[in-house]
Amino acid sequence: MSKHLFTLAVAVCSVVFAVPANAQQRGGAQPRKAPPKAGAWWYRGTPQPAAAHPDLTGVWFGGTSADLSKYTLPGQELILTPYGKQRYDMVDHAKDPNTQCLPPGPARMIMMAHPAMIVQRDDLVTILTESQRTFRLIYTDGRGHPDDVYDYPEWMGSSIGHWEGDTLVVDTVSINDRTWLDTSGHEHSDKLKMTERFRLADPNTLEHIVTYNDPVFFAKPFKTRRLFKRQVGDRIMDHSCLENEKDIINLVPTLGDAGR
Amino acid sequence: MKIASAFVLLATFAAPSFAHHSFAAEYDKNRPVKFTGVVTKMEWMNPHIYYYVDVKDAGGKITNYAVEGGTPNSLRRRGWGKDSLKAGDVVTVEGYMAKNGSNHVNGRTVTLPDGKRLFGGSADDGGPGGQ
Repeated sequence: MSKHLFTLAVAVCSVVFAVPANAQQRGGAQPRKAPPKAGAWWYRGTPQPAAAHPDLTGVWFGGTSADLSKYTLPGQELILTPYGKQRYDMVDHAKDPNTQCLPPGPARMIMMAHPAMIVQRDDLVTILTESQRTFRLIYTDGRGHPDDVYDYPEWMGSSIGHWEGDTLVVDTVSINDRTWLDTSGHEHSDKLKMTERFRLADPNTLEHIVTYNDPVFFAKPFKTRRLFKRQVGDRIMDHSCLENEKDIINLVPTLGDAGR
Repeated sequence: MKIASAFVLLATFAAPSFAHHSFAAEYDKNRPVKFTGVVTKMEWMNPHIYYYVDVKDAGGKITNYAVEGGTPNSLRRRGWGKDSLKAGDVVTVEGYMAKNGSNHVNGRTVTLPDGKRLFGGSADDGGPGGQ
């Protein structure tokens, strides 16, 4: 190998290592390369055509869910109730629904190892995640939640949204209480109500502010803020969690901090 | 060509991907292992790639270890492919044994035939050597 090329390779890797924890360089991120010459504006990373609302369509990645308490806004800290703390201290990491190849839940699904794609229409916003190729539907056509919504919890919950200026505001309820909110093992009850605010901080940066309100697990509602980068030239690839799963059979009960 | 592939592997291993399980729920950080052997197979599948390594002990007995690596899509985005480790390659693996006594190994670093020693574990699983 030429010495110069090797030096270049080491330099590139050093840059990758130097990027902070929440960066898009991890996991499913796309390495920097020339934008594609053909394809839609959101694929090529060129400006979006004029529209009534900012168009969030595109492939996005912002790092894995990790520990939500590290992403809270000032004054919006995650504080567990005594019951919530007991659960967090005793949660068994061998039972992470992600490890069991179960659906990741509405907010964690866009904080997985792989990118997620948003496809936006005026009356509907869909989020398609590469992780297990699951999806989420956010109705923006003015409807409310189904009348029987609390009788039939769903892995992704029930989501309706509306626009407030340049921000898509999404209200989600009736989330199956088997989902975890993050990799660190924060659980929730069937009382969880989630409010998300999606906004383009710039054409290639998506801001996601989430309010988690669950009086069973959290002493007060808390807010997290994450940024996602547009993955120019990337696409959603194939993924089946059970294709060659070999871990579940080897897992042993691992409680609380022992698994973090 | 050789230059290109070495570059790709270096870049890939330097930015490992996320595990679909907690490190500690499967592997024992108190049972580190280091061995050199011959790759017998590579499985380019979800949720983790696996490569299998035949290792001969002092008495000549051969054990086949199943070594877990990152997720294939993340590795692919960084230039890895299903042929990055081929049957017949001699590699040195440093990792941790499964808690349940099986031959499963969580590979943290891999030394390639050309001598490059690279981080090959999962970054966010809470295991040793992560970021």
